[in-house]
Amino acid sequence: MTDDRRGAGAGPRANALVTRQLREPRMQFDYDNRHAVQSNPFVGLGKFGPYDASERRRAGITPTRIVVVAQKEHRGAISNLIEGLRTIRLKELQAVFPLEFVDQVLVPRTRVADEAAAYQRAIEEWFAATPYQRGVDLAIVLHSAEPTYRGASPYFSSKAAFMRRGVPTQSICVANVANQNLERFKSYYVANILTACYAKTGGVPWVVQPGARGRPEVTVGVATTSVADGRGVVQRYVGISTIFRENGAFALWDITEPEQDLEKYEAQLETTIVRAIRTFEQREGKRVTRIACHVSGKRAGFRETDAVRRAVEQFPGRSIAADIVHVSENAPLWLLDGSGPGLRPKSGLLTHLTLDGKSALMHTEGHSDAPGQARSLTRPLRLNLHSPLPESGCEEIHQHLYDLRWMSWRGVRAASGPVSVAYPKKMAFLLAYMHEQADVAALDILSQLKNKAWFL
Amino acid sequence: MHDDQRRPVPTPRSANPLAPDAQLSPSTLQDALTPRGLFTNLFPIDFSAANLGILRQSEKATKEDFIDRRRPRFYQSGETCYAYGPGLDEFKDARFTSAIVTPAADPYFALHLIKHGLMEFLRAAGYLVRSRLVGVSVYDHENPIKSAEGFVKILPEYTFQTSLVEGAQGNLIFAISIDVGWSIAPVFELGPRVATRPDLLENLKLVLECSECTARCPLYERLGHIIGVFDSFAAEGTELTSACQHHDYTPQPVRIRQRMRSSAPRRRGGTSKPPEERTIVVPGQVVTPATGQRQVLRLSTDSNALALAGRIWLGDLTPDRRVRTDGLQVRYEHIQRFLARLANHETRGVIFPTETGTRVTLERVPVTTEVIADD
Repeated sequence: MTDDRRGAGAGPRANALVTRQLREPRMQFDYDNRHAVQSNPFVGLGKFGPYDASERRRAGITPTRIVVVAQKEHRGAISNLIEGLRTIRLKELQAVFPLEFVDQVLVPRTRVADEAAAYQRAIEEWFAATPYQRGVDLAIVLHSAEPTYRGASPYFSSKAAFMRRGVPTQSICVANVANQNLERFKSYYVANILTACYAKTGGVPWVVQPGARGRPEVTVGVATTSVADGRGVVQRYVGISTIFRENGAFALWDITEPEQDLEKYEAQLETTIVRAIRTFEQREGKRVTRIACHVSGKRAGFRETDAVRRAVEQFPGRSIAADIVHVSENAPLWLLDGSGPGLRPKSGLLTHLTLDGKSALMHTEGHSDAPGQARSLTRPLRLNLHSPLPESGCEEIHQHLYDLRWMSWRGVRAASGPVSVAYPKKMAFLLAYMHEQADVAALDILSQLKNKAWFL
Repeated sequence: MHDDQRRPVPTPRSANPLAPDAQLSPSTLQDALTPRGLFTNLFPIDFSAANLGILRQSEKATKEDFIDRRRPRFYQSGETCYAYGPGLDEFKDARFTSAIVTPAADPYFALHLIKHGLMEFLRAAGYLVRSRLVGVSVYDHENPIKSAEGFVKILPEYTFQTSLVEGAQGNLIFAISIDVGWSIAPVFELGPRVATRPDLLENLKLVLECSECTARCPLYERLGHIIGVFDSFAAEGTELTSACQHHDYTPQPVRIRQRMRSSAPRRRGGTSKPPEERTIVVPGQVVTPATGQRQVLRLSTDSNALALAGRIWLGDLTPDRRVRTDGLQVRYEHIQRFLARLANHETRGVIFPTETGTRVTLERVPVTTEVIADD
């Protein structure tokens, strides 16, 4: 109870809203070790190794082959990068994830405006230089910070160039591996970069500890983006979905074809959900009883609701519960704490805007307990449930969403929102760029990346 | 637009003897208006009367029946059509009967009245108000955060949005959420000041962005798209090509050169005729420079500095570009200072009338929340 003027045991005042504190989840690391549970991924990865560590050991550990792309004058930065990534920060992860730097692509120096094209050209020439298939698992691209570029940037152009060959990329700002920043790079950046690289090459760094009540077996994150033709006129809708397992681990991604209209988008979404359920049942050997559909970007409308309803109807004789939640990151609402530093409340507070919790405000980032570690403000998420209220209420739905913010493998810290929202958004961002570059086809032909989080 | 509906151009708020942002000390704000526990940026609305005021209702008529009427106003809520506002006395329709409606009986109608009452109140106070898809944006153009070269300004922007939330005992709480942000705007959007330097705007591609554009406007089909390039400023009072309803600004007529595509199909192998050009006149307030315009970049060569100034003002960053930990507090103080100005620096809430004649008060102490323990 926050108001110390009120007597103990008194209920909340009528004019106050109801807030609950969500639990911070614990994460499971090496699945062969039932004690490998930790609430801090940095500690967990270092102490126990990734979730699939045992599987890697059984299959035999082979080095991950890496090519580094950078401008010619940044040769020194490449050396620093290699030295930095060989520093032991996550001992057990690095034991099953050795890196082998096989080659370097040196990009000639150009004007800033031409850098994106120069990177792309250099990468294509590197691939074309040998008649055989280049055996690389990952590309690390060094370039200047994003604000340097006012148009096309090497981040996108190199990602697109490597994607066409099925190679995921990891971009790093060249200033971060400069001599004067090297110690900082080793201390603060290496753990995040290794985690992201591990996930991009198909690894599973960690999962949410199993056993929580009412968690859906399949979670589908849905986002849509509209893309325009060269004249900026025609809008086409593209549905993007990412599928997550019961333990929050990323499973696969899907997009609808860009020329599809909204009717086809709905049908495609239905197909995606049916496919996700069938894939899960085949892989896990058990039946799905509950799915969650997290819609972001556009408001969850009848199309999403109908698609989910029709998808679960394709499993006759069974009852599959479906929770359809619209997650908005742009709601103009804030939660403040009059007793917190700078009015910033703790993370995990969930305020009910309706008493049943169908409409709620989730505060995902709080004040940092560590001094000097300020993080920028993040808007609370506005959650709206568009499916019938479950018998047990909304509590499990909210907790599941909150847990998913720990499942971002872009680094070892929790993300500001659930991955079911962040991943489709990231894909939409890249898709919009590739459409602009007439590279959409690259997304569709890459079946070998379907179960890899290349977009991280 | 009928003359009786045309509003006088608001007088500048500089006539107000009270200097903005100077009347409430931070400590007063902290003590009086900041709850000690958890709270939101939702500010409760208090109705002065138990009902929504003077109105009539009908279940036989619909709003569409009166699409050509400008007075009174109509609102459709399910099967019920409400008539209210100026002109209700002269409105004779046997299908409508006088009604007493409480806010709880039709909460979304009550929110509609609150939103429009607030918009009128803010316009009358001299602010530039824009109705958004959800909510209302208010630009404090008299107190810019920073300007660059006299043509680009960064303005405080306050977003008001009506909300209906449920209290701990299931009671409805009518409220308005207030958020604060900033917006970069070329000055010519806001008035005639930039008319002295048209050379800087030459050949600037312009996009039509009129928040009140309807199908009646001859330019409606170009809404959201580039409508042409800047030609020159026109004399005040020049007839407009568009049908913009300029409630809250003196139109700054702008001539725009528009290319007209030939409707005839191009013949195979033949040469197409060069596109024809025409000049249209629209208020400068409803056009914005197209994205990526080099001219805009030239105008705002220090756009990064402007954005930095905005983020510092908003409390995201310190002047040396470090992340601030008390950003929420800075935002909240901006909101409270703005509310204080709206309340004329008195201790009461912000009182404004709705079009049904009832008065509502926007309280300055926000809606609080209380943490309940899980079972």
